[in-house]
Amino acid sequence: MYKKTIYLLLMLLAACKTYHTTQIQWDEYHIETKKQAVSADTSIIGIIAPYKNALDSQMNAIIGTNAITLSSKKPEGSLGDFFADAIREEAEKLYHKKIDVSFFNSGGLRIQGIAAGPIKVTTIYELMPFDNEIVVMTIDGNTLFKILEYSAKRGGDPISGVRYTIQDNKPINITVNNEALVLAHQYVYATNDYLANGGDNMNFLKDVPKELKSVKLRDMLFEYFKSHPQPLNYTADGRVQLQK
Amino acid sequence: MEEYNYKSRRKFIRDIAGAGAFLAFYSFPTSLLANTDAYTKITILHTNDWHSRIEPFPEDGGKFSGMGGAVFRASIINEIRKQEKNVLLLDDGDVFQGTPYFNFYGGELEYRLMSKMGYDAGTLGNHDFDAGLDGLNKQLVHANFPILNANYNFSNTLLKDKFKPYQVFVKDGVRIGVFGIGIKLDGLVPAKMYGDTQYNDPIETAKKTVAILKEEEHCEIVICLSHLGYKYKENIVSDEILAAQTKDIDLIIGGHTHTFMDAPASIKNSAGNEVLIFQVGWAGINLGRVDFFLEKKSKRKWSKHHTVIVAKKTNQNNPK
Repeated sequence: MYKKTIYLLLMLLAACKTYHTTQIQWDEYHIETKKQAVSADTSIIGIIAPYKNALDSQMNAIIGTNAITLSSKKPEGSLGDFFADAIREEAEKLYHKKIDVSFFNSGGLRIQGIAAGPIKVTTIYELMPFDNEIVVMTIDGNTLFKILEYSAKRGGDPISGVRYTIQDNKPINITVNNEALVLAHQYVYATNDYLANGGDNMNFLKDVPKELKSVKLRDMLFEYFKSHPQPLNYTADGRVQLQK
Repeated sequence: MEEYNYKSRRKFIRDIAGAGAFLAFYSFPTSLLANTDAYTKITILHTNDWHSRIEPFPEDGGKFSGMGGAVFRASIINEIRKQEKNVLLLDDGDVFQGTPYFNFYGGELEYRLMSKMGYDAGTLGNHDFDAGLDGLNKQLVHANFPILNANYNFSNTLLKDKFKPYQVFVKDGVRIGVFGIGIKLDGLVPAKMYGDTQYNDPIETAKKTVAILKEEEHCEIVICLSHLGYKYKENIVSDEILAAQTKDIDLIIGGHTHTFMDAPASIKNSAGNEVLIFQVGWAGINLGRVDFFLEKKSKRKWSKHHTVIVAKKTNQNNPK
């Protein structure tokens, strides 16, 4: 009885009390297969297995080889140069006309690089996981200048057909296919449907008439590998310079 | 407690109250702790921006060679669960998109694995809309954990009533309120993907939700799963701004900007108290951990602005 009363009293006291944080500790676990001292979770391996097995034969197929590692960089990297050039070339085949400029968002390339050596199908998926499609439109030099202004402000993006310099976050010394940019001139411009429809807040192309073919950029890359001699030997050519 | 042979960076990021208080806390007899129920510890584990990286990055000499992967993440989580009684496992969104696993299976495997790992809650990142509302809806059946968002209104969409704004978890008598805040979809996600989803102001929504968690749900810990991004050069709402302009949030688990933070950031909120922000990169390369040590006292003994010591974990049980 005595004990019970004490217990009840404690319960009542506890009811008036609240928890407060007095200390916080933090930590971070780095997950790296080679460095783990814990054993692999076999139940997780079991769940992944059927998905992995179904994908692997297709995804591990080699579609090409790469002589030099491609890497993404700001304002310009070999990965972005390769991507923009490849899509521009494939777009010319697809649309049966000359494409002056191709431009893409750097955030749309989802891996940092493609290592030297064989290139697997999965790498192309990882580079371009989005189902973005090619869009071609005719824009004037003034609009092209706006695109470069937009890109220069955020440090440059993958581009083909244009060379320019970023100075104080603005584009200068712009050439299109080795000729100075003419604001009144018409240019054939290729991009992805994401940017063409206002993605990344690039709102100024929304109302420009577009030629659509419903072809994914990823599939255009696969086409590119089919028709080009291997290994790829691609280096950044200095098309976008940063003036400090 | 099991021993591990892991390397660990150990450093204190802050020790306002000094080593005395810190040691005093630790030297408290554990038997007494158990008897009085006056102290407890809540362990938060978190990931962000997994981006369908089911397997580790390939061993190709690249930047993230051999890093990440669901298998060892699960192993580490299991080990921590063996050591800690009160674990909450949370994810900050952008679970989807990045490898063929998403292109071919639409996110099914990601949610199945998270369910198996025992995630307690997740939220929506912008890329979780990449297969459209319909694509997301199809995968929800594979998630056995709630996906929380407070500032997207799905009333006019097929996802109506599929997401709760917040959830309260009770661990060892401690009430932990977790809510989700998503990034502005317009200009980021193609309009056809998010349809009639309405975006509400993150700060205003957070204030309202936190008020409910504090006043109606009586939560002792409030955690925000924010997919706003850590911080920006431009004046765009971010975790830093969210932390500074609200009160009563204890921890913001961040994402979107794929920020590898050296340590959690500590920001003063609108009431002058500290809020922690922690984000652990992306692709499942890291698992974040934040332990809350709580003490039970009568309300009048707590000042409004009590000091919380924040330190890097110093135990040996650190699977690095």
